[in-house]
Amino acid sequence: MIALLLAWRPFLDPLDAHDVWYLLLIPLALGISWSYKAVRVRSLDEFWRQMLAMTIQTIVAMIALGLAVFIFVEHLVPMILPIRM
Amino acid sequence: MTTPESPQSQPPQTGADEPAWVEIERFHPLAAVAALILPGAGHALLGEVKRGVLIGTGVLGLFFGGILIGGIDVVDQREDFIWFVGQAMVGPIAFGVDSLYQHRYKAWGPERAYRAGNPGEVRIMGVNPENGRPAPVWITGPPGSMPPSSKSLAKVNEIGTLYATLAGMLNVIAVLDVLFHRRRIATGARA
Repeated sequence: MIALLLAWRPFLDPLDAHDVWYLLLIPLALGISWSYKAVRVRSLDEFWRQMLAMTIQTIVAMIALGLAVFIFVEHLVPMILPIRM
Repeated sequence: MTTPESPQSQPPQTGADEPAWVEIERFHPLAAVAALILPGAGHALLGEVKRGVLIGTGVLGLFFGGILIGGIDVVDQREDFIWFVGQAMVGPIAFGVDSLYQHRYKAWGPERAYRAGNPGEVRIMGVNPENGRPAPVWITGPPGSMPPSSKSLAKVNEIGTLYATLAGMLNVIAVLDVLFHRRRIATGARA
């Protein structure tokens, strides 16, 4: 791991995050909420609260969508169309 | 700077403790151009400096965050043109990163493809296989040699590309907001 980090050249080489790629969706949700709310909030006093709320909503929605797709693919589809060997 | 072409005034809003205000929409083409050149500059030009700084930080944070995750390979006009269309909305910075990648980190491979280097290859000046002119080429280097940048693959490439493209899409929202900018003006009266 240390050898990999030492060999990594930021901005030139990709991050070795293939096993934890889903964690990168958290800063993505934060960045989207940050940019969107910076444009949309009427008063910047509300910015931090609204940005945090949108980030949490986005992450919860992504987890819910992931669960829904998992249940559909792993449980519902085999019930509708059982695999016959 | 501001052109009061089509002000759309709303009726004064009043609350128990708030001053009455009107919202005026104005058309700001120069501010929109500034926002396209540098994310957040449009709002800063209209006097909303703090908002402009927040927009610039968010958009550029996403753009460079994508490059940090997926490497410079996530901004590639030749190989990922559709994604680059979205990334281009970040402005000249996106074109600069792409130009840097095309001219400093890619070269012609022996299979006549202009591409990023593979591990074990080094970049030297050679001949463009298409027109015979001097151009960088990849050759097999000494053991352990690495190209100046690495190609990103799979999920890390997808997420890095998504970050950079979403940065451009969000800057489009900022540009449209500044182009038809609404400003609240208090009338001073209290309910």
